[in-house]
Amino acid sequence: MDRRFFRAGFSIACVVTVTAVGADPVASRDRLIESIRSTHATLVDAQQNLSTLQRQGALGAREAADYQAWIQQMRTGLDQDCQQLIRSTDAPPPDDLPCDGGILPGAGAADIDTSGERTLEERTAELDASLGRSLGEFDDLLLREQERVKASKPDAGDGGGSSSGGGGMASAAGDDGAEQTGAEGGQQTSSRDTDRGRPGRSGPSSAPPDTPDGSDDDVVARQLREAAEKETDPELKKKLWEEYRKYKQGIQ
Amino acid sequence: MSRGVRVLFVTLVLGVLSGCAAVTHHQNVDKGQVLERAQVEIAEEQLLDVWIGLFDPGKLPENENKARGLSMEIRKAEARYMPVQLRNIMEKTGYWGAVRVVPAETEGGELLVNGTILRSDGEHLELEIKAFDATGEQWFSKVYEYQLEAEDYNGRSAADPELFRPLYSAIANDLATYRAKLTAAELRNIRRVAEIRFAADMAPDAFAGYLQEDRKGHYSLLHLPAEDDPMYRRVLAIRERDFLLIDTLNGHFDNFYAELDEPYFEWRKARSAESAELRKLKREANTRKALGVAAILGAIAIEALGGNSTSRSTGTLRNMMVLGGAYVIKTGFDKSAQTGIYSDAIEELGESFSTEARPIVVNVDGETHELTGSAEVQYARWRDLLRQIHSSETGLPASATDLTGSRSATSDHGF
Repeated sequence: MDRRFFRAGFSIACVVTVTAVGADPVASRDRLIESIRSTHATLVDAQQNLSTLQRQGALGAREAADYQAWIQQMRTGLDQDCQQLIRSTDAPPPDDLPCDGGILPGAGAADIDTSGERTLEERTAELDASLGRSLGEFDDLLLREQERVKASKPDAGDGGGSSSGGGGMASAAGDDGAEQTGAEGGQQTSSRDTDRGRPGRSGPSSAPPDTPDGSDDDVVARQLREAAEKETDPELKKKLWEEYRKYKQGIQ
Repeated sequence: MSRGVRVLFVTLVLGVLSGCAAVTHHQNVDKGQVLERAQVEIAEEQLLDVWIGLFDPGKLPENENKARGLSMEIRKAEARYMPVQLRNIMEKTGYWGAVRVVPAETEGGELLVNGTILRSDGEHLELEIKAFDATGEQWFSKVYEYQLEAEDYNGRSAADPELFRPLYSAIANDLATYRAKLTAAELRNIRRVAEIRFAADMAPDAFAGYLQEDRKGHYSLLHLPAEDDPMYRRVLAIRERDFLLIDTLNGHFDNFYAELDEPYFEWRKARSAESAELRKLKREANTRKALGVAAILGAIAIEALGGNSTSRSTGTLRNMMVLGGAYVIKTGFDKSAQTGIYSDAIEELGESFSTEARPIVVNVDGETHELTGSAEVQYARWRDLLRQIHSSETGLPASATDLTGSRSATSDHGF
């Protein structure tokens, strides 16, 4: 039933659009206005119906995509009609039309759910950006927390002090001495161990002279910096440092 | 049913039951236990990340004397301290990727190590360790036991401050031994399953169908997402934040470990010394009592066996023996009174340790609660965003996912 509905709707919209476009040279202003009103009403109905069907889970992927394409086609037609109406006369369009400077939607479209009129790609991009922002906020939270943890780190004890700080936040190097008395020596360092964000790094840096000091690095910058510092191939190392500098310049 | 048949039947039932239950092995760890290290660098793709759950503090001994000086406050502190100790040792072996301490029963790691403290009193340490990989396979379940002497505490060096190191080394060695039995393909599979389990948890609409879980809780991969799958890339970006969160938590655990190390060492040392003294006094007291009773009995026997002349001639001896015996018994009882004093001292030490440790424990709890509370909100938001993106990308309606989330690290295990 749903499929029938939007196929019928699609036909109506095509007729509306073709009528509006076909009558272009000779159409009276009133006729164009009526066409816009009619298309707009269909568009609003279609959007509401799509939302209902999606909430009910009554649409398959293909049907939903067809439906969206049809709505988009109506929007394009409506936009063109609005522009034509604006060009055809000096008088402003009636207030109840969804035309605002030829750009749809605008004034008079307050009852339209404009978010539903975006393309799937636009919506995905917007959600993606939202996810990116959220991840960035979380990075900031963790960085602040890590700074706080670092600041509250107890001073290294003397004498029979602890072997604390072996891993995690603190450098594993802090524990090495404690284990030297172990049997075989030859400490192995896991490469994955250093892949993860590890604030509080210390020790000499292999950064070129014109490189920022990294004190305000965010997560991405830190990973780039660490990759550059760890890289043994000089050519690759140079490229990584360049990438790091570019990234730092980009975010400042 | 004849007795023989009954015995056979019972034997068979027991055999079947023991076959069904997971077998827990036991090892008395030797003082000479050495930590095994990788002799060659292991390829990155074969390194498993290890998550060590905060230990279960277990129960205190029911025996009043054995429980003297111990408290659940101390146990809770130990349950946070010991996993860090194990992590520090495992990090040195070269067999593993990132080794992290995580809240108990956190899911999502490639290898998860859980522990329960069965006994810890400064002289004995007994831990039950279970290890599972991401596919749900249990590597082993084993009880490790190690005993120190009081004088061992005097030999603690700054270079090797953990006196129970052999026990942790034994655990690390067993994990490495099990790992060595796995093929490169099996190791890669564990890592992939861990990744997809995370993806399925964060975006079930998109990834739940990639996994299959059997009745025993074992996971297998049905297929893999494409490398350039945008939804998968988003999930992996979130997973990186999951690692960062765990790293941050480890910062808290490290600070706790460092703060606790000295008072905990002193408590263990003092308790061990007091316990040793207590045992010595008890032995002495028992010996004295026994000697005293023997002396009196001896004197009585002299009187009973001897005649009048004998009695006269041994009268002095007999009297001395009776008096001496009574004296020995008395000093024996005095010694017992002293043991009471030492026991009180142990209790006092335990209480003072608890008082000292409590703010640290509460602090760690408070801080990790605060952090993970924030994380919980974020995880729910990400889950919701992924659900919407999936719906937008596929045109499929978004499922009614429980947005409170099932991510165990932030919701199920209360840290």
